[in-house]
Amino acid sequence: MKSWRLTTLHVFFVVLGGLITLRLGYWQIVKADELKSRAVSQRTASKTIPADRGDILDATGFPLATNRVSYLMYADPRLTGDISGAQLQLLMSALGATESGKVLKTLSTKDRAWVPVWPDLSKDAKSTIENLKIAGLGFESRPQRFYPEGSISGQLLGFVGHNDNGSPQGFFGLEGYYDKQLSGIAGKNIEETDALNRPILIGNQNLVPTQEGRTLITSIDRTIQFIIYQKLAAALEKYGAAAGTVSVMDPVTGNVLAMVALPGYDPQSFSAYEPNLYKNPIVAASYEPGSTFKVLVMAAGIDTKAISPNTKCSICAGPLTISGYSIRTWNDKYYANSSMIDVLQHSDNVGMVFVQRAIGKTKFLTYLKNFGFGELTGVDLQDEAAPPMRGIDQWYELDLATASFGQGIAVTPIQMLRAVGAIANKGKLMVPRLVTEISDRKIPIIPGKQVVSPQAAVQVTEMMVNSVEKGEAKWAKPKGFMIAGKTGTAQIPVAGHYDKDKTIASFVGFAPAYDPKFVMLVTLNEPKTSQWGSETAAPLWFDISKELLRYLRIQPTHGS
Amino acid sequence: MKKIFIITIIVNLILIMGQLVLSAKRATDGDALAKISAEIAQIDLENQDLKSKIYAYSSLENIEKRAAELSLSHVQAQFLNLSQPVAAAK
Repeated sequence: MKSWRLTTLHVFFVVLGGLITLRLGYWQIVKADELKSRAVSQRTASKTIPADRGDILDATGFPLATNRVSYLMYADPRLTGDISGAQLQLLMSALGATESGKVLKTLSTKDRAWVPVWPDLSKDAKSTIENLKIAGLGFESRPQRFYPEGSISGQLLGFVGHNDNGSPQGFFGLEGYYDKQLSGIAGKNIEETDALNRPILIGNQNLVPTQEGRTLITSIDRTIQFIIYQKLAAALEKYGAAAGTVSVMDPVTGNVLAMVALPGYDPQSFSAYEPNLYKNPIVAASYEPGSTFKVLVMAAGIDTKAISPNTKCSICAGPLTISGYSIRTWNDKYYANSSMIDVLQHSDNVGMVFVQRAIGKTKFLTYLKNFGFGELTGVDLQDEAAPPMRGIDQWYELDLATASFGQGIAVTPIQMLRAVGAIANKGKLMVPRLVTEISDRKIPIIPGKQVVSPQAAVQVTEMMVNSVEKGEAKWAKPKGFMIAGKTGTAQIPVAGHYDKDKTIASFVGFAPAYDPKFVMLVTLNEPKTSQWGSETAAPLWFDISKELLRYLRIQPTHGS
Repeated sequence: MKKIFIITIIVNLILIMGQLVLSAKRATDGDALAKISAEIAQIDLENQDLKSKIYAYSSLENIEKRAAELSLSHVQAQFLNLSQPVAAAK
């Protein structure tokens, strides 16, 4: 009996020992890796170090886009209790809110421990609210994009929103085009910490350094940007125009000095605006350039030697009929045997058909292509689009005729600015660009393409100077300066025909004519006071140019 | 032999004490480091806040607004066109 009990006890302990061994083996062998990683995760803290988004600076080094800290105010509604009337008033004032209903509704969700109350609070507002000592309110700092110059460069800069993963991402303009460079790469710090989350210095530490976003230095001059913004805003009101653009470029380098399109938006609060305002119409929207296009056709004519400035127009005595359509001049006045100088001065459509016919179809279309139409200019803005050019076999006589005076052909303002910039730059077509340096690394200028000879460019410049000196808008021209320019009034195509009341008035030109420091294009959509470019866009161009000539310290060269 | 044994014990005790002191010091260094890191983060935030205030105050829109408040008005650019000096009279 005694022996049986001893044996049972012996077996029991052997089985128990075996089970313990198996359990220990399970924890130490089978579950070893999992337990090890759990132990490591308990004593190590992994912290992502976000990369600061790079700044976008203007040519003088002033930030057009930078970062600032904002605070999200959150609450634990279970702790906030009832806020007194005076406290609520002070809270609303600190938040800059007029309506307290939304905040009170958020604070009344007592079944939740964390609710966001107000985004994007400044440090001062946060301090004010903290001083109110309302229980249950807390703040979380978060980086926010900040555009010090506000809405004057909205469409140029784009904005930073969030992508599908919830990560910040640049959209449109420079923010979109250079998103990768601006974003940087977040770093990581993995270190052993104690129970209070303080680092244990004798423990393991692993730091993956952050790669900060790169800083972009642009050719944008914020003073010029501000001048054209103010002038354009005033002009839209003065002329009752629905929209407008002004773009300024250095024709020699292709550096864009400023560009503004209105109506615009404030990138700081982009979500408060209609999404159709996000795209920059200077690079993304097409229009028919009208008579401003004539300078390019004239340059092609002179370059091919099909015409010279003194060539007489043999078909300019009256209207011209092509394929049943009548080609007329804008004021129905006709000048028989006028020279090409006069054709440009009078903005004579019939004279331009004469030039196009002299050039010939193939060469004419080759020049349009060489001037950069039908393709992207390569400007470093995300939203650029280029209206396609028809194939050579799809151009009929009437199409060629209307294209010669800028109707029936679609271009973007940046294409037009670049092409006229080539005339200013002795026939060399440059690639427009905004960013000149990325984090101290200079971006070389892309060499220009000679599209017309320097001689042809100078001859067209002389003709443009003559057009300004003797044209309809000569009264507005700044005295003492040689300015080359051309007005344009293009009808707007609506449902297959041209609306006779709606026009795009424009003026393109450069100054000083023979040593240009800037080329500028002004467009006004549907001006109400007058539909003509000479009475709206041209005065605006000259008004801006007066400021630019003074700002760029360009001296007058003659008395009138 | 006994003397060496006692010396060894004393040396070991000193080393253990030293280890304890150093460990304690390193442990509190972690605390100090955490405080310094928090202070740096706070100062960085304040720096960024001050920088953004400077940018906001120096924006041309703000300068224009301030100028208007001070009753300064915008002046149109004016150029003086002087006649060329006459070198010799007829």
